[in-house]
Amino acid sequence: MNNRNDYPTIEKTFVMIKPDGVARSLVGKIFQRLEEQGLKLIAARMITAKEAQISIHYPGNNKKWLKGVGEKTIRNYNNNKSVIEDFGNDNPLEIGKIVYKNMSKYLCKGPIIISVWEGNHAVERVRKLAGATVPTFSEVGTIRDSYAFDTPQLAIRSRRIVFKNLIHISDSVDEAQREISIWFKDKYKPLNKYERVDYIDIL
Amino acid sequence: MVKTQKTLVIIKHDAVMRGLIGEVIHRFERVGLKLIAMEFLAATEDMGDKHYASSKENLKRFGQHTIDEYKQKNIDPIKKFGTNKPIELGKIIKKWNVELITRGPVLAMVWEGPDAIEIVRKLAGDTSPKKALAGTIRGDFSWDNYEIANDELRSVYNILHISGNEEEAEFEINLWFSKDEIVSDYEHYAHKAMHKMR
Repeated sequence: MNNRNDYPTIEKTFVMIKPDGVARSLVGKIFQRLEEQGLKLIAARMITAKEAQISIHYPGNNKKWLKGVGEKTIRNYNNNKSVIEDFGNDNPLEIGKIVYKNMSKYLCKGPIIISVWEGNHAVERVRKLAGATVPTFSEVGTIRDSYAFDTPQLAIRSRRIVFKNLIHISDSVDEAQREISIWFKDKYKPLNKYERVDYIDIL
Repeated sequence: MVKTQKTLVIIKHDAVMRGLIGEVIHRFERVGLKLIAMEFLAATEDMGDKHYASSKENLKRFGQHTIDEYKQKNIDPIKKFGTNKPIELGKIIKKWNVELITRGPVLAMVWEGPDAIEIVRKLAGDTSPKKALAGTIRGDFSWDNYEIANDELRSVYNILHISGNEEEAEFEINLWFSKDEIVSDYEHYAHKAMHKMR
């Protein structure tokens, strides 16, 4: 057998444990869930993110993306009067900018764990394991359902606008590649030249 | 303010390969210690050499584990190693220790909390997993011991390296992390929860 890492279905995916996950001591549990899926840790670091890094990770300067974020927020409100009350306007782009700023602040508020995981169909499987972005909408047994309980309403009421949903994960293989290259470069390259001995025989 | 200590923990490659990283981190998190640095890295031989410092006391300590275990089983170290001097034995064991820590990527971490060094030592258990009590990390996840390891000419697979005392902790933290990689300036809920009970 040649190098297992060369299989086309062996993917890498990026996982970020956000400040709420670190402060709530959930790093071990989240890592455990990923390891139990047979995924191999190939990079990890604890850092405090800078707003400049977040603006590369999320396209914070892209108007189309910001507008999308604003539209999603307005949908979560279900009520235009409160949108105007909270944001001073109901323009999706302007709201998107405010939401993005809040999200960026939240991610830089405390240390985060950035990590890269490798394995068969890693991207899709980690998406499934993480669950829906809004914790209360995610399936039972997913990480977000198991350890978080935020909703848009709760977030709005506490004037947070962003969800405390513990982790960020890559959406697609391409996104994963882009995100890994942002967070792990130069001396912090992923290290995948080893095998998980508890999974080696089934591959 | 409660006085806190910092201590270094390395999840060694034997545990990384077995998928035990999350479980081990969880053990330290649930006791209420605060994670303040983490990096998944491949140690160089030079780092390994510095980490297992070659002071007389250290070498003696490395060798003494084997001597103690052999005594219990009536095995003559001279027959196995050609020597029964702890320091000479320690040199051989050190070489194996360096081999294990550089064999593949490891997860290095710094944990902080009241008496963190002693708490982590207690959770980790005896360096010989066979001797380590049930409930400790080494006791729960390995049956290895010095006799088997020596027969196989390798270091004991005991999941973790942890700092032995304050002096060691300071030296090791500086070896594995630069100052800017340590992020202790954040509010930690588990710690807060303990205080709320007062």
